[in-house]
Amino acid sequence: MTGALAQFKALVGRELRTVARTRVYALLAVGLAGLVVALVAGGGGGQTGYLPAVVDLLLPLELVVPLAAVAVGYRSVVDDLERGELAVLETYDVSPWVYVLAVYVGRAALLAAVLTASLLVSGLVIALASAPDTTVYATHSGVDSPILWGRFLVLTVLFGLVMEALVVLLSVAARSVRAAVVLATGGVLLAAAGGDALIVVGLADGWLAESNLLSALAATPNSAYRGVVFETVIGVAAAGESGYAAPLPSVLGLFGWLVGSLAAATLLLSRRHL
Amino acid sequence: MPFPGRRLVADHTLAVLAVGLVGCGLLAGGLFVVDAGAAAPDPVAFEDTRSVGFASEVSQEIDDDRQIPRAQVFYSQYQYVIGYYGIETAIAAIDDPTRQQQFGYPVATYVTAYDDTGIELDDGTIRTDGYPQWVDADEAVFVAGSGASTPAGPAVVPFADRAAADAFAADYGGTVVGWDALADRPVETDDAAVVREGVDDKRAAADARVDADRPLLDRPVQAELSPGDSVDAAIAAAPNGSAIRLAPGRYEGPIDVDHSITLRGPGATIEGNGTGSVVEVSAADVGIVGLTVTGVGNQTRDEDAVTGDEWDANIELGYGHGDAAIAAVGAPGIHVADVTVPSTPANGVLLRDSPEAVVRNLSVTGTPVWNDGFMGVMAMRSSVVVEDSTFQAGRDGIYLHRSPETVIRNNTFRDNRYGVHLMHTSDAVIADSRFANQEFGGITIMTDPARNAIVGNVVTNTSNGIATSGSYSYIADNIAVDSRVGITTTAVGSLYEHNVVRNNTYGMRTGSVLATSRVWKNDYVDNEYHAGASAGPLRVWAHDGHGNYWQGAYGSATDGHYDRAYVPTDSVDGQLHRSAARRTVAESPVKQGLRALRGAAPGLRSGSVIDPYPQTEPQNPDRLRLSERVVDDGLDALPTNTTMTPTADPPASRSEGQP
Repeated sequence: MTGALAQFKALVGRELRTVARTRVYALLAVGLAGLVVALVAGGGGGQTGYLPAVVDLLLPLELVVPLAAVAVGYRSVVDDLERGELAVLETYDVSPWVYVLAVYVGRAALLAAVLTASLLVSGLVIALASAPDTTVYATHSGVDSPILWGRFLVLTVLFGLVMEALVVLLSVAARSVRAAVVLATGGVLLAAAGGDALIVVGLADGWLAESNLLSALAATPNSAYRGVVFETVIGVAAAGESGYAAPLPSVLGLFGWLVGSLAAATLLLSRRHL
Repeated sequence: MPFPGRRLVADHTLAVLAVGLVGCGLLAGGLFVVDAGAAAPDPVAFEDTRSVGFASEVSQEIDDDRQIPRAQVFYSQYQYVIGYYGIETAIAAIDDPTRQQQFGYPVATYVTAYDDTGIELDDGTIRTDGYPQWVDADEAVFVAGSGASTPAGPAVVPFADRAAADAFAADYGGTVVGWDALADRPVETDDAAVVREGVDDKRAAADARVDADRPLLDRPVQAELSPGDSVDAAIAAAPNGSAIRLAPGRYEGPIDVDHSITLRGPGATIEGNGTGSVVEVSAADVGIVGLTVTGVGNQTRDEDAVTGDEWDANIELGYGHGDAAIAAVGAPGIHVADVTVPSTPANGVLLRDSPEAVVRNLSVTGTPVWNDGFMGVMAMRSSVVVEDSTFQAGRDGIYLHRSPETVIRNNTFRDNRYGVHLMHTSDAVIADSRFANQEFGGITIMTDPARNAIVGNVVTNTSNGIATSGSYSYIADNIAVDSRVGITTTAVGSLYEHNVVRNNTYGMRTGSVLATSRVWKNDYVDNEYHAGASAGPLRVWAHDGHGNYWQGAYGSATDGHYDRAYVPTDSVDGQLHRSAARRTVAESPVKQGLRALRGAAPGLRSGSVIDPYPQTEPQNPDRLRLSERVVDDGLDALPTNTTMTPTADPPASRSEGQP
């Protein structure tokens, strides 16, 4: 076990060094933070508070977060494969789960840091910039508070971690870097949009009943993310407004995707290589 | 050379990760455990709230806020604290589903508790020695149905302590109830819908008032004067209830009508000497019919005037004592008809403390520059019907101060500063009138009055076409074109419907931080900006699934409205009717993503307007066609005024017998 631990440590260190060496990730971080701040400013919500800014950001982030996950992780495993490092690691008797987990932790740490930083910066912008239109009257913040922004941040990072796990799985599945781009993009799109599309079709055709809708939403990464944001952030502003999602099953659903993707990646890797 | 910190992190990756993960997990979980509902904020000074509940002229009458039980409410998604005069007003507002949608739910509600204030009722009015304290409404008890009252009617009186409430109820009657029980009681308020229903009644009341003057116009002719005769001498000789006929020609003024007679032309001109008022009226039920009045003095105020010590004494000094062609002071029931004032550097008709007045078919022309003139009709504490009249080139066509129940209809205003200017005047109707080229405003209501109706008017080429103020008003069926701002929605709790705004810089513009009005079934065409928004939350301009017609809105449609919400204040949406390229921007995923949820939590957004149900077809097609002709040809495009009827000329011979 200590051997596995030491291997894991070494591999995570290797991933982090790779991340630190790759300057383009810095560009990604700056770009993402810039985009989020621009959306906050351009949407107008940031002028008055955190909650309206969440309203502005939610849908764009549903698209941007999976894309960022792809950018961070699509080459993670396939690079090792192409460069022969995977074969080298094989000689050290690294077990697949240690390898997959280490790669994932390294990449996920980067994505989480980038998302956290972007949202913290925008949160700071909102804290400094939001103000009532007029000071003629007494004002208060209503239910709006940094706590809501914090919840949004946590949920967004969780959503990012799920997407990253999926990307690592697809990187394991790819046999070349070229294939990896296609696979990661396609796979993430399928997971991000496919589940939602299925729900829409199910509702239209009638085979998805209202009684199963919350479960279906919890089982789809995007819907789970969106639903919990509605439930725990946006819905707070209105009295008695809930039922957008089942928060606990949705969070469990997201963790299910995370763990499931990593488990599948381990399985696939053990069959093929390590 | 590896960076030492990096090595450190690499060496202790696991520990760093473990500690970090546990910390993040705890923090993250904690964010969801903490109650995000706002901690109840402390009450603020009432004068700092956005207060509602009384028309200004009513609250001016209240010498002490302590007389009025008050409430202040902090809403979950609304950053301004709303103050309510009257607990009933607060309850009605909190119950209103539209308001819940705009403001969210009340996070905290405070009421003024009268414990230990030495509260007594003086003929229903609350008198106290001390100041009532703010207490949480949920913990307060209320005495309903006691003898307590405010200018708005019976009042519920809050107490913090049950024993104090019981004691008050024992002295003054009423039942003691809690907040929840109180909130369950039905509350009736005179809202805009009531005003809408009342417009026809007010029109009928105006008809009745005009008809009631018929005997005054049919008075037996006591004397027939020829040009040059002394009118004053004839008046002195005429008994009450008689008429004096003036043959066409010139008569020397000024004259003084000090008892109830009728002066009639037509064709006679009373010539003033250029100082003071020309026809002074100081008796009830005087008729002035078919005269032309010239030679009006140029004083718009009187340095020697004496006014009472009421709150509006300065306003009276500023506006109520100027020279006039016809000045009626303390002359209720005066009837002015078919009178022409070809030029006046001061007022046309001045009515002070002369209620139940009628002014018909009056024509007043001011000065070449409006700054040199004054009011066409100046009515102070004088409810009046003004109809079928023309006002040109004065300061204000009609200026009203504390003249409730006034009806202004079917008049034409050109080249004034303001066409109709209401100050401290509630319950008025301004209908079917035409306004062109007013420098500041067509219809301008100031000072927060209540329950005014502005119906069926046409305003063109004016700075602020129709500027509202106050509350519970009804603004409908109007056309505003070629103006800087067509209509402002400053009056709160009001109804704006079936208006057409066309070819203005701003079609409509919000003016209050309170979003409590209903704006629907209006048409917005060819404006530079269909709508503008000043300070305040996102306003939802639709009701019951029905919005407005916005030229430029698009999308797939169901049930007569587009499925795509329209945001007239948006830089992209708001210009769709002027630029096809904006449509391309509007369709971008980023723009769509940003706008998709915009209607959520409107109270927490600011400075914009959204219509969730933009209509596919114009809501007022006939009025829209008419508005296009007004844009092309001005007021001349309007159908000729057929309702204008000169006052009937009674038989020239003396009537038989006295009435």
